[in-house]
Amino acid sequence: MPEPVLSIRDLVVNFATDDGIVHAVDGVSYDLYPGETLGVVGESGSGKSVTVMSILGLIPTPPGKIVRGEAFFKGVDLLKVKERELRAIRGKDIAMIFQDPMTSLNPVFTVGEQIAEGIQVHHPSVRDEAARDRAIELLQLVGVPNAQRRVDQYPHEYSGGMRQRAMIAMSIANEPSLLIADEPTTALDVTIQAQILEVMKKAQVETHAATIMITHDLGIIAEMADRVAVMYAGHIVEVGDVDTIFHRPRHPYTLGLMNSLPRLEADERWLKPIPGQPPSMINVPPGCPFHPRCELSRGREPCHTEFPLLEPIDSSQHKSACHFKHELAGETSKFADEAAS
Amino acid sequence: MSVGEVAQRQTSKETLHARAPRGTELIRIEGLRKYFPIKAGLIRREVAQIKAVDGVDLTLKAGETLGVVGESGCGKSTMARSVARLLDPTAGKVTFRGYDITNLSRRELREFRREIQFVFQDPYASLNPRMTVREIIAEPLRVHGRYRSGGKEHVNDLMETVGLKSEHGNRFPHEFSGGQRQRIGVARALALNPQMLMLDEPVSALDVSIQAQVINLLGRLQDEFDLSYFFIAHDLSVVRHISDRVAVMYLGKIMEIGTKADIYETPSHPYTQALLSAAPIPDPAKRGKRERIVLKGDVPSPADPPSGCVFRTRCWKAQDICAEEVPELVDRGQRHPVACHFAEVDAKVIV
Amino acid sequence: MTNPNPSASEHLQGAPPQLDRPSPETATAAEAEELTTFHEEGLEVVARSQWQLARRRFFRHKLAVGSLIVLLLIVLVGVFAEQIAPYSFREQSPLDARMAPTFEGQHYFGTDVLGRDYFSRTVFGIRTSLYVAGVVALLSTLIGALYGAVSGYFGGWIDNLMMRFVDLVLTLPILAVLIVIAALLGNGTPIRVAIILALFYWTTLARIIRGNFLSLREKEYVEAAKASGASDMRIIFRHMLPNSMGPIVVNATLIVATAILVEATLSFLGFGVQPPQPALGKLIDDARGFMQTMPWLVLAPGVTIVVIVLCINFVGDGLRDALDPTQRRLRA
Repeated sequence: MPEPVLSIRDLVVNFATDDGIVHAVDGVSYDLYPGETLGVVGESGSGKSVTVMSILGLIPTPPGKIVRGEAFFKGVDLLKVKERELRAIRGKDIAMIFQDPMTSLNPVFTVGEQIAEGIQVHHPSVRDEAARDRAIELLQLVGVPNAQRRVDQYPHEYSGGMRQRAMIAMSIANEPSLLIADEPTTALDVTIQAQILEVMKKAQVETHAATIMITHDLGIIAEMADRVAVMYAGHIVEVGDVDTIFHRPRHPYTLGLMNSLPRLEADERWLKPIPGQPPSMINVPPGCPFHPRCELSRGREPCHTEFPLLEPIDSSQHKSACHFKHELAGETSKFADEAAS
Repeated sequence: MSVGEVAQRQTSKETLHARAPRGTELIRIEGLRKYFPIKAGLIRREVAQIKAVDGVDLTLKAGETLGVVGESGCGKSTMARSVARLLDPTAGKVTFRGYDITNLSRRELREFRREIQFVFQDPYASLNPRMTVREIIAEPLRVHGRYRSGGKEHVNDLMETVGLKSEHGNRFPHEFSGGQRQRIGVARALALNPQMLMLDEPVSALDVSIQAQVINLLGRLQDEFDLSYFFIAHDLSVVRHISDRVAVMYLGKIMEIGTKADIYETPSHPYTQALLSAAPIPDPAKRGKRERIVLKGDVPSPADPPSGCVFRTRCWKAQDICAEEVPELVDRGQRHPVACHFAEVDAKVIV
Repeated sequence: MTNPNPSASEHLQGAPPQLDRPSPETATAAEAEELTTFHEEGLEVVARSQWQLARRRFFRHKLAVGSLIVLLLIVLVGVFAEQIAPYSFREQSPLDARMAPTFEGQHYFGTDVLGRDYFSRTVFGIRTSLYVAGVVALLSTLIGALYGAVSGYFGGWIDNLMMRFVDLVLTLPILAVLIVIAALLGNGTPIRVAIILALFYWTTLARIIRGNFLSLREKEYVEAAKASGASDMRIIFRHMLPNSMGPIVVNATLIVATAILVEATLSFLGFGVQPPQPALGKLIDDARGFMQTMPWLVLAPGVTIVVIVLCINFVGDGLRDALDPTQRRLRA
């Protein structure tokens, strides 16, 4: 196993709000290896975005607070370095693609200027001409038609899909070794989403970057990820390679999630939802955060007293945070049933 | 008014409110158009029109669920609001159980409001933050003067029906989660015991694990209360699950319409095929197993739709005829209406 | 085996964790059960209306709370003027004229040229000024809110027309017009002055509420009310106005402050309340010539005005923060 590009260890992030302290990230650890795509999937409140935002120094520190944790990127702990060093890394070695390109693109500068600026900030010796040429090249790479003309247009002259392509172009401009995409296609229509996912795959091939793909959409994960980390209530509840997670999950939340999805290619009479509501991030129930909704638990000890640690199952690559994960051995999700037939 | 006329008025009101037998036509939409004017200049002259809905024909039968699917800008929400008369149609005709409701005044529409209710998309904006849950659900009853006799019990029943407890009635919307708020919205829509619900993306704003709960709830309510659903969504899996018939919309027009099997197993319009091929399937085993159609270009502006077939600018089958002649929504041999000159079944888009 | 969560295990005993599709009845029954669990775990607290939340937020602003207390005290002074003031405001006592503030004879603020007790005059002045300002705030809020609501709700040409009228009113120079009116009608009773001032001050609120209504109109809960068949009146009063209470309340307090100042100016210019009825501005006016010799005649009412206006502004700030509907909710 090669050295991980990014290694997050026991990250804890809180937010102070009117109603109390929100435990947004409550002890998260994961690794990212070179060249792979790690899908981080979770619903709202799971902490998937806050995790990466905090290691890049992008959360406002009041009211946010990084209580503890380490995030090693190429040997450097991002949580301990100064803002200046972080800025040098952001946009160069680590690039981010956000959900809403309209707010990440500055409306008063042309797209070309913004890409060029991204290049020149990290490579001051590059001249304007050269930066502009590179911008055109990148726009062509991401499939913006008429790149020569479009490079001088403003973001509002681009459609939603094109803006996201421009964002991707900006992010790969400096050949990052780590690409973080936070719900990159959530705001886009499904046909445009398909285009953008193609572009992202192309971008990965071009840069050989390791990618973290954060989304709530399991379809995107199934399509893009090599490994998957499932998050719930600020914790990682399961991590493993994509086939295992989708077909043979070993955490009741993952299993419940898979089985609650309506299917595109088959008919069902009733769906099987996960009962209950997402947990409050302020008053976190003791023990396992999922236990109030867990059908595997059935109210047993130790689920409501002892917090389950993320532990390996067969190989070290498949881990689950559940006291009764062994009882799920042999269970398959409804997708596996089909794959078998 | 003669005695005879009064009697006739009474009976027609009764027919309106009596439950339509299953399979009879509940809603008929003919040639529906909704244009929004774009005004500019000093005197706000109309310079162009956004053709949000541009000629839609649809029917909804009692007891069925019609799913309308399409991407943003296709006009499905506008159409829903025009049919429910939250907007005034620009042209065309909407009939409910034979009554032409297209141009009725607010007052005349009141009777129909009892039969056609709306469930909105945004659980955070569709409930009045200053009213308690009980007040929100009771509001339609109060508006129609039906709260006096048994209203309180009715509201309690409704809350339990949608899975809430009657203690929740005194609380305010902001104390509930998204899924619970949608339940409140559904309870409100059911207060007057309508015959049909217009649902505009009712689960799109909810977490995945909660979507399934609400979808099941809607299914159960349909059986229990004999409801018909007009279900608008962009998620193809959800639409497949809940619908009996499905219509695919693009740029204000219907591209294809048929039963669930027609659309999902024998899709014949290139846009439908592209949609199905682009919809992500949460199963890594299917990677690379589907035919991938990636459309080129972006959606044209509804203020300036392409001539002829509106889909032609992104369609790989487009020929000259597509720019000259608007393809009619008729059966071209696939056993369901398709609006394409080159309609052809392609099942490889789903595995 | 102790089970602190009886409801959780109860329902689950009926539904083993398999991959079978449960019948819809058990599914929803289970869901309802789960909702109880969720709440019983202490994850939900007491029902709190928006008002209660706003009140909690308000009390966090110490300056606003302090100002509110001071303001309430001043209002009480005005209300109980008869009980508090040792003298009437017109009682003259030439022998005691021109006294500096002293504890002798309870002339805490001294006396004026005519020997009238200045503390009493100030206290009654507070009452008059607050009364006028209160009436102005009430009337202009009523007119302004309703006007703005109708204009914003209907939009289109109605809105256009109504707003153009507002523009017209706003172009009129208030003081000039007031002076003309006063000249024509002579010095007014407090109520007359109040009404005339109100006829100018409703415009600000009208604009604000109109803007508010334009955006509220698009909210889905308003659409929902329409979909139920509610009449326009019902939608405006039951659904939209309660959601505009924030700007209305804040604005009303600010109008009080402005009205006090304007009334003071009017009185100062001689076009306000009739003498010998004291109003704070009139008191300053009367004392104009004596600033060097008897500065307390200017200071007492002047400082009072400043204190009242400052307090109102602080309370208004606190209210604005408290009633701000933008809740900071975090989504991860």
